[in-house]
Amino acid sequence: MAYTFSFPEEVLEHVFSFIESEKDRNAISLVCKSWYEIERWCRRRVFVGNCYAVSPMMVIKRFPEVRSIALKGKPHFADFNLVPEGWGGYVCPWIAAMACAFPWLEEIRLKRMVITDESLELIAKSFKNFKVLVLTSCEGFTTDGLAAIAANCRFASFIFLISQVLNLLDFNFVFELVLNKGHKFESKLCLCLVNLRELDLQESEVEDLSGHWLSHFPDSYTSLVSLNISCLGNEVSLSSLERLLGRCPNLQTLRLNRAVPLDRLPNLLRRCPQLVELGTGVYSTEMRPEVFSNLEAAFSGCKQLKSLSGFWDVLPSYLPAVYPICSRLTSLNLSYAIVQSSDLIKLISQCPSLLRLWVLDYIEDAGLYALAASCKDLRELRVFPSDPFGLEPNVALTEQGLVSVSEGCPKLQSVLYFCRQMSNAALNTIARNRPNLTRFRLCIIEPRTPDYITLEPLDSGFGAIVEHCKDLQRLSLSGLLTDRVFEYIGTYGKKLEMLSVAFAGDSDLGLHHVLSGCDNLRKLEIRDCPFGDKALLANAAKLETMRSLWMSSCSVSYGACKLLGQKMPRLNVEVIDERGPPDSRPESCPVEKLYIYRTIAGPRLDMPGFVWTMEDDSSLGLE
Amino acid sequence: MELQLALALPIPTNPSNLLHLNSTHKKRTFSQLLDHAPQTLTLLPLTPNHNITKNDHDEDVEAIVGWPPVNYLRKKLRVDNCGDEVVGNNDHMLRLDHHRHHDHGSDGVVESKSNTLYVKVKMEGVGIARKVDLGMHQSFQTLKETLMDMFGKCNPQSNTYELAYQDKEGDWLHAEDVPWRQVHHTILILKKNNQNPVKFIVPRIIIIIRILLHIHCELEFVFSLKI
Repeated sequence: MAYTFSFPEEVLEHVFSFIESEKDRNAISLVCKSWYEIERWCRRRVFVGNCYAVSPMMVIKRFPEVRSIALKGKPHFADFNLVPEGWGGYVCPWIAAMACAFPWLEEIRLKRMVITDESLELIAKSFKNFKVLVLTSCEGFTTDGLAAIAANCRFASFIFLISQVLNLLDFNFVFELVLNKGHKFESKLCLCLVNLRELDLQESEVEDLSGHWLSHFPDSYTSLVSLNISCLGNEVSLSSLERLLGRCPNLQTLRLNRAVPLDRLPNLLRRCPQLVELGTGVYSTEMRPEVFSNLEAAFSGCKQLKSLSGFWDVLPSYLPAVYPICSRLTSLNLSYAIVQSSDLIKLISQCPSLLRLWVLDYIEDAGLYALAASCKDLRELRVFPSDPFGLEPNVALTEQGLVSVSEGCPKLQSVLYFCRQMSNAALNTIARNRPNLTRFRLCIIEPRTPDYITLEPLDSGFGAIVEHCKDLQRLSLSGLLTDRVFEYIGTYGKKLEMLSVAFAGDSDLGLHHVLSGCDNLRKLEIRDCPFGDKALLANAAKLETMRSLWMSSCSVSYGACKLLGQKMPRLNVEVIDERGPPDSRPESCPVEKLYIYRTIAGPRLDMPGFVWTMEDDSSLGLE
Repeated sequence: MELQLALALPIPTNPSNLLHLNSTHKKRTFSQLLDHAPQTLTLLPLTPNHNITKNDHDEDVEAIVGWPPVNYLRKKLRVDNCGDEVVGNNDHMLRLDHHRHHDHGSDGVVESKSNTLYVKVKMEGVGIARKVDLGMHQSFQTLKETLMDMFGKCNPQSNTYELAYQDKEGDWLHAEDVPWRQVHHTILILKKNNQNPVKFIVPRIIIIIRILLHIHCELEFVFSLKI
């Protein structure tokens, strides 16, 4: 006898409220129709990985009670200037739609999107409970828009992550507004400026860069939790900063900019000994014993400090000042610090609790060996190039450094490594040492560099990585690679979600291996590879299971794009070509750039003149 | 890391084109300081793709767009810091004297001026660019020594070298006639007002110095060591 057993809706809703991750929520909604209905009414957070995959109305219709939305726009390769200006990623239609539909919206998080001042003003006016605005690598707005947010939003908890050209004079003005609002807020205010790309100071007078905005924090304002000005180019008023820090007992994160001198750091630290995360300013000054001991004492007073960054212009003799807190450090970002290997070794040897290290390749193999010996809990290592465009190695960093770390750090999961030489043997060793790797991004600086010992391609080395690291989610390839490596990836990369490929492969077979083999692939980005039509067309259906595919400087013909667009109505096949309309050239001519993504919203309507979406059969039939 | 190979454009044989002379002035002209026109070596690119153009802001233009995949901030760091000697094999550490000209102003305003007058020193004919922080030097002597050290001129000859510079009006003057502080101050003023630069001329060796500041203000200095 079948019987239905169901909880009252309220109970189910309550249970569902403990489920945060959207993957789990999606799974819940597939159980049955009633669960779908209940779940959709109580979903509060929505993440849209590609703003063109779905229309604002569709989201609003399905999830009427959203409080927090995150949207991503441009493809990842936009970070490296591969996506031409004006491609898209406009958030305006979303804001307009949500302004009517979600009056209680609290949070908007955008990444790689274009947001105008009008949209910011609309946000400010429309959402009475607005709390959080996060803009990462966004553009299209000015400080007028920010001023509108500041002036109209009644609630605190602003988080600004801004990446954009701003005129500094306006910037000060915005802060005056933001901070004048501050004293009315009961809740905690997070004010965080990160990734300020560039301050357009061409027309500004240097004398005006006085950093007075800090003094606009009213004396009654005590709610600051996070202040991050690390990318501001100008100086700020240190005495105002000191006073501000002194009256904000909840301050956890303070990231200073380069202009803050080292000899003033102790005073700042003494005002906020409860700091958990600190980014220093410039880390050098005249070597004076009293400055040193002052600094050392100030650091000793910060008993909660777990994360350090900053360290621009380091004078090595000042590094020992941080030794008192090194034992508690879990995160160290020295990726802008010019420090020799020997000094890095002395520092790192004191940090046994380190979980994350970001560093320049000045660390060299010797430093990485020391890291492996001292930091047994390390989870993440990123080694950035100090001289990415130089032709010759400027530091003694080779594949050996990474091998040492893979040997010595049993919990290592995430690697980003720039170097100039690699061998299959080393990759093999790394793979066998660290089968628990989940992210492996290797960038051998010169394209198509072979195994430096055998002069063979690095196929078997990367093959070993995918074979042994069964939980690998993200992989970036470099060096000399044939179709073979893609065969390995297709065979073993079953959990792989994101793959980045450059200057690799011989033929369509390579692409075919990946598309047919990687069951969990969501994002694939390819540049300068000889992949053409066959693999793409043969795996057209696969593309609907992925978020997106980017191919630039490959061999995909216009004809193939058209065909794909015709046959796959749920894909947008965008041809991006700045040479002019693709049908002014033969159909066999390869397109410059291709961006394919699944969508249920149909072709977008906001394309610039150099983007063409291939039409599908249904729209052609309407003619 | 300091090795920057650049295509140096051959300079015209008449140096006045390069140096904007005012040749009618009765004070010493460049040609009187200059023994003979300095040579410029044109460096061949090492790989076919490796084109570096002598662009003011993009000294080290990427050979391939978007490769290596480093973000904007990291590219900027590389430009700001190239020529830094901290990690070179050269024993000569830039950061010898940290005599910062602190301006202890009143509270509430900016208290210490940023003295980072990093000057990228490029010698025509030599592919190695160096960096000098004018703010780190207290006198012409130290500046001269630093420059000579950088470019491998032996110390015994130091007495035969003099610093000269060209002011706005095109007059060539001995740098050492003017107190260092005044020159330094002048440089600071020029930095703020974005005016035409003061030029120090090198007769034997033309060193073209570009100042790269955080605020993208650019001045050109050509240092002169006269034999």
